[in-house]
Amino acid sequence: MSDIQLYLLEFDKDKKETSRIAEQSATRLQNGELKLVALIENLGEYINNEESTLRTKAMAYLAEVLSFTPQKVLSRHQRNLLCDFILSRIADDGEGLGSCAKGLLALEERGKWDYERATAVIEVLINHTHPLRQYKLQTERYPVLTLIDTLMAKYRDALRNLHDTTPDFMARFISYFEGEKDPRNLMVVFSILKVPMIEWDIGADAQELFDAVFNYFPITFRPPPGDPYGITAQHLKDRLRDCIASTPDFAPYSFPALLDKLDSTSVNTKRDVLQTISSCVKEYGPRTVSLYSITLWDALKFEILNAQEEDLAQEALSALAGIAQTLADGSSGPLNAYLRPITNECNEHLEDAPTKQSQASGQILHKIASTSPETATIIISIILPNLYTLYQTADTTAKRRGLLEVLVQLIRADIEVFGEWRSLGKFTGDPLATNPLDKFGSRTLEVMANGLSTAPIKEVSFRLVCLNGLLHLTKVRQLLDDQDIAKVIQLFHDVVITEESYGKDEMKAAAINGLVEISHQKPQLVVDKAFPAFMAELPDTDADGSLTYLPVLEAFAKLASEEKVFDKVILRLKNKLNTAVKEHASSSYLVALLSAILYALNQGGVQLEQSSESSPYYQDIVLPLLSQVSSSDSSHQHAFDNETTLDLVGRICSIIIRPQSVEIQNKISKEIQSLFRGFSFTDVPPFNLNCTLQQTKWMIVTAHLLGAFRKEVALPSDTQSFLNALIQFTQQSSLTPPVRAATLSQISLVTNKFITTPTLNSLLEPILYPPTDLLSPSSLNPTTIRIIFAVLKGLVLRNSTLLSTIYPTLLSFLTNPTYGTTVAHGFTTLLQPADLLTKQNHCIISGLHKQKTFTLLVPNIAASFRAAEKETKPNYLIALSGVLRWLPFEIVQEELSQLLPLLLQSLDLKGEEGVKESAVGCLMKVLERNPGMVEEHTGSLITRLLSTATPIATVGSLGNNPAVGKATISGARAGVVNGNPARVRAVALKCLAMVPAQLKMEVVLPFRRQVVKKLAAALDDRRRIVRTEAVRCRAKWLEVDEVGDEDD
Amino acid sequence: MPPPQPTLSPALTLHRLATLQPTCTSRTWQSVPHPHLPIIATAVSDRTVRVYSLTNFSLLHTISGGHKRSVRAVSWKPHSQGQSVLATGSFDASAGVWRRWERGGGDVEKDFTRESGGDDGDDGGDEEDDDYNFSCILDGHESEIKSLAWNNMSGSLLATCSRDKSIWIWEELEEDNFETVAVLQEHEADVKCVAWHTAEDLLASASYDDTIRLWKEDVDDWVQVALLAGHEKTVWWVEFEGAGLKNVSEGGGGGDGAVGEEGEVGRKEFLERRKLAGPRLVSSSDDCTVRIWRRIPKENQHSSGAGSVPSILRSHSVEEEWVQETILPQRHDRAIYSVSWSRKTGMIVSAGSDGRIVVYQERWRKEVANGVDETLVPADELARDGKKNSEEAAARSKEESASLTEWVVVAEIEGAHDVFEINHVCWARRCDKGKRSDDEEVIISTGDDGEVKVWTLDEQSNNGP
Amino acid sequence: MDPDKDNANPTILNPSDLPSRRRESSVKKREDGGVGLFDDLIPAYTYLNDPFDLPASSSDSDSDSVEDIDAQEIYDLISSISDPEHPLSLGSLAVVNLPDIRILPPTSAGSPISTVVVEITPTITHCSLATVIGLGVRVRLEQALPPRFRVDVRIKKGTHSTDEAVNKQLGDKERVAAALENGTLMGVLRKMLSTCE
Repeated sequence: MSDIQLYLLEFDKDKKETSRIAEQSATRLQNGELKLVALIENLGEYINNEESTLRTKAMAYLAEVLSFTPQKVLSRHQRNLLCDFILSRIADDGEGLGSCAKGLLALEERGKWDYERATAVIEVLINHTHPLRQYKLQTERYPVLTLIDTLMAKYRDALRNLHDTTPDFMARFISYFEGEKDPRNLMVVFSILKVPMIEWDIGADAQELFDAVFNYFPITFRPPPGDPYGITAQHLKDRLRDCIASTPDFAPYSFPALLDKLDSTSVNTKRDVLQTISSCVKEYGPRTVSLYSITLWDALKFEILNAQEEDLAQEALSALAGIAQTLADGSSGPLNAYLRPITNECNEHLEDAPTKQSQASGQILHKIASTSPETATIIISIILPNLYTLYQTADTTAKRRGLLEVLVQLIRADIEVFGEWRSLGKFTGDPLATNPLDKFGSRTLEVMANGLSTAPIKEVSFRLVCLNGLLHLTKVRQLLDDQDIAKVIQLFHDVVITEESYGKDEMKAAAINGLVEISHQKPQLVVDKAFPAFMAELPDTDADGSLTYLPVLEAFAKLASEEKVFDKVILRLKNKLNTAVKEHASSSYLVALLSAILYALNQGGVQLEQSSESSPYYQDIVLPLLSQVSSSDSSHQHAFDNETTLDLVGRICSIIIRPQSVEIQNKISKEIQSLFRGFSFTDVPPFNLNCTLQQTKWMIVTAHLLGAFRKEVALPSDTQSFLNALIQFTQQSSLTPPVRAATLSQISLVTNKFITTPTLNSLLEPILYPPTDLLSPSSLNPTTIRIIFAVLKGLVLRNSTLLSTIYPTLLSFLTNPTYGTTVAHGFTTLLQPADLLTKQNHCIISGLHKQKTFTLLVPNIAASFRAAEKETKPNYLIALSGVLRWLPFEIVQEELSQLLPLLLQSLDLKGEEGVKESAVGCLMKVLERNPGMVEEHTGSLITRLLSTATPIATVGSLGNNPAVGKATISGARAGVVNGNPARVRAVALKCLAMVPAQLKMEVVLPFRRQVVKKLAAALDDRRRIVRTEAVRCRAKWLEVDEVGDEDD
Repeated sequence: MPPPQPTLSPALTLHRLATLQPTCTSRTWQSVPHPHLPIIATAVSDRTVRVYSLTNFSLLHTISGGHKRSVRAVSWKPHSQGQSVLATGSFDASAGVWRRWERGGGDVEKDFTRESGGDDGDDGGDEEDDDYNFSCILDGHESEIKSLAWNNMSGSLLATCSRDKSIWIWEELEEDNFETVAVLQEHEADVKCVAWHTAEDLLASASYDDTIRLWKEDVDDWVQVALLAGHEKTVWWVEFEGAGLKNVSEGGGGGDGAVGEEGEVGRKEFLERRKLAGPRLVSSSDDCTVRIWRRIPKENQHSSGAGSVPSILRSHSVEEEWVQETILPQRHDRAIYSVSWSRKTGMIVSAGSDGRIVVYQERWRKEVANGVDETLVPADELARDGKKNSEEAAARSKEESASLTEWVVVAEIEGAHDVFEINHVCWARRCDKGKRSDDEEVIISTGDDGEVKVWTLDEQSNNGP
Repeated sequence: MDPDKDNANPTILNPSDLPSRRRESSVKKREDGGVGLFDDLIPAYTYLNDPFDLPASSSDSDSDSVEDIDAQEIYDLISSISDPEHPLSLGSLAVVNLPDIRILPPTSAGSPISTVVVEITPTITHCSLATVIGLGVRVRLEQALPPRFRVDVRIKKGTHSTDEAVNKQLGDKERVAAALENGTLMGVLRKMLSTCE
């Protein structure tokens, strides 16, 4: 059987096979086994068969063979023959058009055509297959379109010439594509038509051409799910938009048509129109745009002045800006003509500021002014004078505010155009551009400075605008001189320092940020003017006990976020701290100062990382601080005996030491040890079990240092004895809780990063098991339990294999009558985000540690829970929630089906609010991610959440209490009847609020009335946060509606 | 046992006897006791009607499926033999009529024992024939129906009123064949309530236009026969006094209820006049007052039985003159939605938005030496109504001063439905095992909390059952 | 663009000028010396607090203190309702104002009933939507306040041509109840309340 026969046989069965056959023929052509002539002959009988399908298939065969035939196999002559052959087919037989096109494409790829050929092809197509839509199959039309697209790409002149020489060609060409509906094909059609639009002289045909594409506007196409070609509505929109915007010749048709569609009620259509207008005004060029600019303004302004949808307003704005931009490229006449009505109208709206429309005017002016120096200049010089007159005559502060808001908009625009001190604006290339604000600078400064300093502090919004305006003014490139800027700085820090706190303190916050921003532009000025003022406000000691320094301190610390002044901030704070210590300031003042330093350091993190060699801050801050901590000088003793103070010291040291290299850290660790009583480390904690109370507190600082060191850094002694020392030390009853906590986290740090995996087992063996034998039930007590979890914490994070042997023992402790509950509470520490065990602290943190702990613990807990005695059951629930609360949903999901009942039961526990909270938290995750799972439990979920959140006695039943002359007020007593703290009540309500949103209507509906009624009690909760949640929750449930009765 | 004669006020206390179970999860509007069976029907905003037993206070039937909106009002057809007929008015602008066959021909005693005997299955009302069957729907009103009532005389007239400002009167020609006999549209706003006279076919209506109007058939045309102005805000409720005279109780005049000879005479005449005038009308309003209105009998009208009045009137105009007799002591500080006049004891109970239930009793005024009473209401009455046409006020004040009786509050309870508003109160015969006499009455209150509560009225000392 | 609008160009208050609760609290913060800015310096899970004591320690200390429902809270409930014809809140349009919200205590010792009186100020005197707005406020409060409160919503005297009529409607429980069963009207209200958080 010949290939063609096989091919035809397979055609409807197996696409692959057919291709294979075609390919095979191709190879046989190549190595001469098969002569082209022969192939054509074989083809003959089918290609002329009266069976149309057979003809089609035969054509497909030919096309496919050609597509597989390598270059150069076919001679130019042969190719021409084939071309003629195929073209003749097209001419006298509609069948297999697609394949014909494919064939032609294949041939074209295998050798460029000449001018005539290209012309011939297009003519045959247009003459014999017009209009294309008569071919119903997309697969038929697509290749044809691609073919024409190729012609457009490669043989443009040929087609163009056709257009120039044949009068009606264009018309036929356009109508050829009429009625195309398939998105894939449309994409091609658009790109084909774009060529004549842009390149050809289409004078007469413009409208026809425009209509041909605009018929598709607006594109409302939703790609079928799983559409293999991934063509989105956006793709189509973009291409269509390009076509519409392609030539100014369209303007007479496009603008009216678009503006007409702008009246549509569909937001999408409007958005589409606005975006299209934007690209039109960009492309059509100044001359054309100038003809329509005012018409467009009159239409577009409504979208902004009476904005319904914010994003539409934005689109309209950019369209208006686009116009200005384009016009700015042309002569000044049209630009002025365009801006005149705009500035006029905006001026009118300013009259009755502050209104929706005066605000809108501000936006318009800003957006347009920021398009070019010319525009900015025109607008500013028209608007400002009028604005000032209005300002003078304004009778209310509200109105002045409205006006200044617009003014600020203009200054912002000016900055975008003419730049800031430290960065050029968009357009400052041209030297000619003189900043229009120069004329108004001092006036503006005066107005707003006055507003800020004279308006009563209750006029928050007004003063905010002034402040904001001043800030922008100081930024404008080369506008204000240093004295003026200094004046502004003065105003700002007066607000921060001397002004009394009011409302949400928006003013102070804004003023501080203002200073930060100014210090970015003019660091030195801020340092010179503001710093002294701040320092003057910071007492050397707070003997009087007033807290007035707090806001100042906060503000000052914030300045550190500007790298230009970071160092200076740190320096000043440090000096202040030293004096404070000398002056015996109260610990709360020291804490404040240290916090400020820490905050500042956090802000300037960058500077810290940059330190190549030993960081200067180490010398300037760490060493002095540590020596003060460790010194026996009485004033220091007194200053640094407070745990919070020491904790801050620790954190400050840590943040500085952390980034240092191993070498430097080793040096540091040596120095520090010598600092803490040089002779022998055995004199200091943890090695010295009978050191002074004061000394024990050093553990807090050293905990942070231990955290800061890389794991390669040498410990003061060998790990084993260090660990033992720590464990010994922890067990002293004399320790304060913070010191114990610090010691415990040192244990965690050691087990996590200072023990190598190979030695881990041997090192911990003697601790977990005899001699120390932490894991024997007999040695259980509150302290050992803490130690066990401290050790575990280190191991969990590094995902140690030891876990699998330790966990079972741990779980068995849950049944312990005395300590079961304590152990249970420990579980929450395992996965809880740790303060000191972090990546920055160079700890070993395995990506899988959560997953691992989950699989090791949770299934067991769930199983043993069912088996457990009534009195120990709670312990399992506590432990479970302790683990679950820190797990990402993906992990929990696995066991969900059996965990849900347990979670629900946790809500019944007495006390244990922490547990309930995490249980609810978990339930919320489930509701959010996998609501289906909850459905079967809906009833018990709802009742439990309700009873967690609302008083036991609900409004309804309280009335039932008999023989009362007057009914009791169920209201204000809500939470009292309910044992749960506000936080838990609130979160329960949060969760309950998710239920109607996440579960199916029919599942929720039956509970609606009951829930809504019960929630009434929560509305009267004693605590506001709970009431707020109750209101939200109830609103959600009220939305759940009875099914349809809407007959009006 | 007649209600305890109050010796010294504070006289009585209200005790909650029961809350009908199960309670509703949404607002309940009105509860109306059956004319002879120990059951009560409650209109619920969840579009259903609940029928509860008054013997064991449990749910017997839930009537649903008839209305697309809240059921606002219900009314039992009086004198219905062998079957119970219930009319329901709804916010969906339609009225429905429902029927259920009574076993044992509705003989009260028999029925009573059965009910009390059985809170078991056979009251469950789940068998088809045992249910209330929808029998017909009355369409016509343009908006929410707010109230409806069967007339007491024939029981064949049904009055409905609506927010569309109109009152419709339907006549049941034969079963399920209703004909509209009148559409009364004089009211200028929502008609809130309609009520029939207890002894004639006289209809009273209360409205959002602050007025009460009385209606009567003249020849075969229903017309407005009186307009009662006085309330200053929406009138929520009207109800007629029971037919036949009620005994006025002795004043709390420091123990000695005795009155002098001429006092006795005065009281006789007073009662005569009252008999002639016929049952009075009580109304409650958003203006926080409860008012009692009295008809001024026509001159030369011999006191034949009230029933025959129409035949006499036919000759002259049907216009009637009604005056405000008095305003009950003001105990409410928010809208009073409902007020009810006991057919047995003549006591009045009121309730409303403030969640209070207040019970009033009429008693002889304590006489004072010169026979003139200083404690007269009219003084401030005049002041209050100054703006209204003086002659009416004058007329009323004449009546007032002539009045030998006064109303006193004999019982009161706060927050009867916890913190919720009370939409309706009424009297009903007490039917549970605990009843102290066959004609003992209970008060039934219906609230926004979806609860219907039953209250007994006890002497102070008595701590109730 | 919207000739059908009653007031196409209302005056708008700036959010900073709207009354808010944080007012007192931020001041209070200063008094108890909490260093607001520095609060989050120490991570929430500082090693310093002992998980084993959590159950005891973390129970909210001030659980017994009662925060009464006050005018501000009511303002917060209704100021976020959005105007039926502008994408703006009743607060920023000054339709509801803190001074126009009063809470009346129970009238008698025995009574559990308190009353909330809200006077609303329509943006213009002939605003046909006054009733809808009032209804929105009433509905919001009936949904959000405990039932022991009676809600009286009125149009502020002299700010509306037909304020008495509107007030009577808003005060009529039966009309309000019926309105809430009207689908179309409920749709409008839902939209207004959708911005409440």
